[in-house]
Amino acid sequence: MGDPLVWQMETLRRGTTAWESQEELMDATARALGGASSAALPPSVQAAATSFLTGWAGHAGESAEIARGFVGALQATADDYSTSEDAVDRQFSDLGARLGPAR
Amino acid sequence: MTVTIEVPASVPAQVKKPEGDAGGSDALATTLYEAAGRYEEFADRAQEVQDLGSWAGVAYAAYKEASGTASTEHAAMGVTVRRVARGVTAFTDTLRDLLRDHDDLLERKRGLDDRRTTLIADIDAAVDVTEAQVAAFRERSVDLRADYSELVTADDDLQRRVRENETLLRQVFQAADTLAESTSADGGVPPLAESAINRPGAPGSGATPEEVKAWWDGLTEAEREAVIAAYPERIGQGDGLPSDARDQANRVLLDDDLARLAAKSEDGTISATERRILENAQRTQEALANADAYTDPLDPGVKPGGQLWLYDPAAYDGDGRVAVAVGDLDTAADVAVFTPGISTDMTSVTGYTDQMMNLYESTRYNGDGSSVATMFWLGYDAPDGPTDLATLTEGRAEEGGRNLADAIDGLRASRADDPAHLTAIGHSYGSTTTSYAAHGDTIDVDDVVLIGSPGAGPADRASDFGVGEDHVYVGRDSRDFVATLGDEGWIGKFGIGLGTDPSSEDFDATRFEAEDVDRSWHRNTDEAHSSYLDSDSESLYNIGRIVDGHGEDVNGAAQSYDPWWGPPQDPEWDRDPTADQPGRSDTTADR
Repeated sequence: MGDPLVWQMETLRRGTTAWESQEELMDATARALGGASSAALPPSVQAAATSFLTGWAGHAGESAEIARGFVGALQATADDYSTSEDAVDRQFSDLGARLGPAR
Repeated sequence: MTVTIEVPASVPAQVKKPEGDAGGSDALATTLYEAAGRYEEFADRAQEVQDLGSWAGVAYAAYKEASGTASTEHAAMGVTVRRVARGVTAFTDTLRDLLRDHDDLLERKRGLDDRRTTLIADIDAAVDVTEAQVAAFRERSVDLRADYSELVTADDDLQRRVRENETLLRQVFQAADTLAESTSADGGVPPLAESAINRPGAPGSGATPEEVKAWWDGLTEAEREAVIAAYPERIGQGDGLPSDARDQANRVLLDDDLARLAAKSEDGTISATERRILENAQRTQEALANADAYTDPLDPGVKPGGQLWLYDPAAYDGDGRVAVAVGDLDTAADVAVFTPGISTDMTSVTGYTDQMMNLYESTRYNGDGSSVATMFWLGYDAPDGPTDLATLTEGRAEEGGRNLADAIDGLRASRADDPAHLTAIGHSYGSTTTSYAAHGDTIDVDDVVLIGSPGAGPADRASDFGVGEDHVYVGRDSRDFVATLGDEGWIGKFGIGLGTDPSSEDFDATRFEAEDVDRSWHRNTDEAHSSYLDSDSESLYNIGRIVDGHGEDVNGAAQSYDPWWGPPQDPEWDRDPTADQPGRSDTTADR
């Protein structure tokens, strides 16, 4: 196992990638349901089918949004870790520069 | 003198065609199955990516809770969309039946209209008619009126079924069109189905096959269609239900697996278990297609049809449970249930269904004209192969025997008023399983056939079977090594193995000829053990006679025996086998 932070970032990235894939699939699902036709069904069923398809296209779109939300949160987490790591690194470097024989 | 002949009007004025396009409806179902798969993927993925390494703390706890909720919610939504997709599949299956019935009615009406036109022409052409001619015209007119009346009744019935089918599908959509419904436990379940399944006697409720049958008999046609669409798992395995209902339900499940898992495979999100289920589904689809296309040997214009009597592709860690019949189990006069042995899993269903066609053909071709259905039944966890320790013991056979007994009870209860002549056939380890089911008075079958048997399990003698020794038949190829594994007599195998060799004198069943013309000079576990249902073989000929209810006509073979002075003897070893010989091994019609 390498640098713990690198490893942790890698797992966060893996999670992010998985949610990105899911976002794409749910977007595709929303398009598929939105594009599906009830025309092959008897007229007495078409209104109910259309209402269902419209509603579920919306649900799928919301699911894509949810997946996007996970992507955003995980990316923000990774970014925050990274930023925080860099900032603390700089602070300790600055501190280190003030220590030693040169002091 | 003027004579009046009242010619009936051509009614109904129009036989209204059921609306809807089955192909387009199938495409819609596929879209919904794919969507269901995506919701499942969402749920699975949300679960999988909950563990993100060493991430811990408040933020991780919040992430975990959110992804857990998302998983649960999307799993429920996936179930709801699947239910709706199954509803569309069931609607489409029924629509196809209705369209066929509509075509039949149109044909009938054309025939009646032709008769009407001819009658009018005959009346118009008649001059100086006698009393007898007038009476004949009137009789034709009365007959025609009665036939038109029957047609009107049939048309009314068709239109009622069309309305019910459409109403059911409308209810399916309406039961899943709000977010609250989509995440509820019964999203997509129409009220008609819910009320029906909650009545006493429903399958899956612990009811006996007889109670299940009574429950089914108490449902309206619309309720039956509703429960098939909404609860196909319960209907598809409902012992006591008509086989046609089970078949319809299992085909809905099959369509679901084929479409949903193929989409997951394409998405790259299919799991190893799901891949096995998909393969099981694909093999079952092939087997059914072959069975559906098979034509009767005595009347090539007739297709006896296939029935998917059992479909459970995830059972036994993906080995699966399945039963496919050739012919109509609800109406056939002669029914055979074939239980396979070791190494059989659901991917074997195509080959075994082909063998069921061979058996159907042999039974009909050499039979008395009675209708036939032959079913491959894999309703137990067959040992994986010779190296599986389960092969050496009778545990799986004992459990399988109980399952087989339940299946037979279900078949019997489903047509208690019209019992078939029923034959249980077991091959290899399946013969041990069949012996467990049939010894004593546990199952109600008419004949038992054991082929390539490594031992008859708990039965030491043919008379231990409930059918009585005169109805126990045994086929053993002298070169079949597996069939020598049973305890053959004098020295025996010291209690090791799967029981007594049923071809032996000690067992005393009726042994029939089962030698293969391509037999080897030595015993083996390959061809000699797996050719009992080959076309134009002695074995298949004799089994066909038994299935047809004429076991007394089999070509008998001398039983094996184990003399004190030497090793076990098989009198069939030196007999010249036959193939395609009428009255002995001819099992196929020239087509």
